[in-house]
Amino acid sequence: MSSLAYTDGFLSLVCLWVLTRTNLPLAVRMAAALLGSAAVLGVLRFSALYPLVPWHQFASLMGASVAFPLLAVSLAWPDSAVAQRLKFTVIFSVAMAVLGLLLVTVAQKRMLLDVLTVLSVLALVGISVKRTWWAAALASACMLTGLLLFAAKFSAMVWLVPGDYLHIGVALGLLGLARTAAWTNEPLGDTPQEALAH
Amino acid sequence: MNPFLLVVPVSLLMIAVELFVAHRRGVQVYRLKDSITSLNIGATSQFVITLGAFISVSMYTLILEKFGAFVWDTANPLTWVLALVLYDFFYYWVHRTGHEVNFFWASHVIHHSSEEFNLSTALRQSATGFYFKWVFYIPLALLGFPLKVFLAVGFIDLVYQIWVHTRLVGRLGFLEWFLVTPSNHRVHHGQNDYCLDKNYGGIFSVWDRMFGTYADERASEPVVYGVRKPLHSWNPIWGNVNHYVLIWQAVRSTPGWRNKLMCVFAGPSWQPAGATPLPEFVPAQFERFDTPAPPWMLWVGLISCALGMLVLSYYLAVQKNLGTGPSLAIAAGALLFYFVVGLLWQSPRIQKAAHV
Repeated sequence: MSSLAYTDGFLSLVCLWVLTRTNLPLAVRMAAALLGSAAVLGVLRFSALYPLVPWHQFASLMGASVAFPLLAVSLAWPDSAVAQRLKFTVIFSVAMAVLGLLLVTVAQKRMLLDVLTVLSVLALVGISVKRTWWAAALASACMLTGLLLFAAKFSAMVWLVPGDYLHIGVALGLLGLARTAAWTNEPLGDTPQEALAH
Repeated sequence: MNPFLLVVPVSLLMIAVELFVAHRRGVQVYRLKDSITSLNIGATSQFVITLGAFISVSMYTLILEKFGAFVWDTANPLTWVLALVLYDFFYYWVHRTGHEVNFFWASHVIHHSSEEFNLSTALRQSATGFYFKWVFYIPLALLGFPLKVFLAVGFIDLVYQIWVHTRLVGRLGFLEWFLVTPSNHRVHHGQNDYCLDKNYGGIFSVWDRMFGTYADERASEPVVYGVRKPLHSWNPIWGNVNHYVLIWQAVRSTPGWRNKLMCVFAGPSWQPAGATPLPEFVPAQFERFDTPAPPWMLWVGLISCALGMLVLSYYLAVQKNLGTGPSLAIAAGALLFYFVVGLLWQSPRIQKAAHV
């Protein structure tokens, strides 16, 4: 069994833990669900239990294009509709997913998607530092390190491959962010009257 | 052969049958201007969608090839049944999004803009929905359903929905429990309070029951068809772009970037805090849109509609062999034609002449 199965398993457990934290903004739990789906498919793939390689690739793509921007938006605007309300979280997620899909399948510019992911995590670091949330900054830095080590195909230890650093970095980052970031559940000030559609 | 080529004569035949039955029962379910507008809008959408379908098919194929996980036996009827049920499930969400997100409502509103409810209303389809609908069917590509299965079940789902646009069929007993029927689809087209955002299903109404959007037709409160912000136009082109313009105006006039985003992505009736509430809807006070027109103008409408249908049939028959340039040229010509017909029908001079 590959080490990736273990580190994906660790990431899955962290995502599951974040998912159960009902005090976190919906968007954060949505991000955890997306990353967790990719991680579970990763466990199935790298443990050779039930390898669904195309689905793992797709879920990873969704994680990269949706989950990190969701985290960034939630940290930047914790009271926003995207962070707090299912409908707008889904709209944002679908829009980012389409962007990711178009970049990878139509434009064939995977690099641009990677840039988007790194920018999202850099935003997490930047916002945390600016607001002096040092624990969140450290967690985001873990995430960024994992991403960069993966991008650089870093492999210092024989029993860890680059993907492992990504899994561990994202898991530690998510764990730290969920425990320390000043996320609230305050509703928006607007009074939408959506019952009167048409 | 393009299957939509069959839809034109079959739909016209069904409309003729509905007219005949209505005549026999002594009820009026058609108004000439409304029905011709519906047919013109339907034709407009077909001229555009045959080009727009390229986006759907291309994206589905790309995702299927790159991420499709399973291989399905197309000789097995269960494959088709499962694909149809799943397609209908995703259709429910396409449709619900089309009602509950203003930007997508801008595309779908034209289907609800008729203040009548008959088989011609079924043809009143949007010309601008193709750019977003494919997204909802990505799971079918991920599951690996072949393109031909996706297209076939999509066509079945669409064609099924034609017959439910009628006032002449009553309630259908136990079928109401799980199928979309004329009765529960009448509710979907209503603007009464109890009808709003209800009955989104395509073939199966079980999705509405599952997700809490089902409503039964009420004998005590006849359905008033149409939308709360009426189109008030016979022009198919304006009908397709009208709500986008309204959104743009709302975005420009609403202060604050969050509110501006809500104008686009919240529900169609969203208003910022402090805005004047929308007036209460009183079904008994509703007046259907109409404009005066001399008899010759109605004949012009009928003849132009028939001409448009003939050109559309020809276009659907030959489009596969046409290049992109000629296809675009014919579609653009057709849109211009319908735009001019729409302008003529609402010309103040002609309306004034009709009054005299």
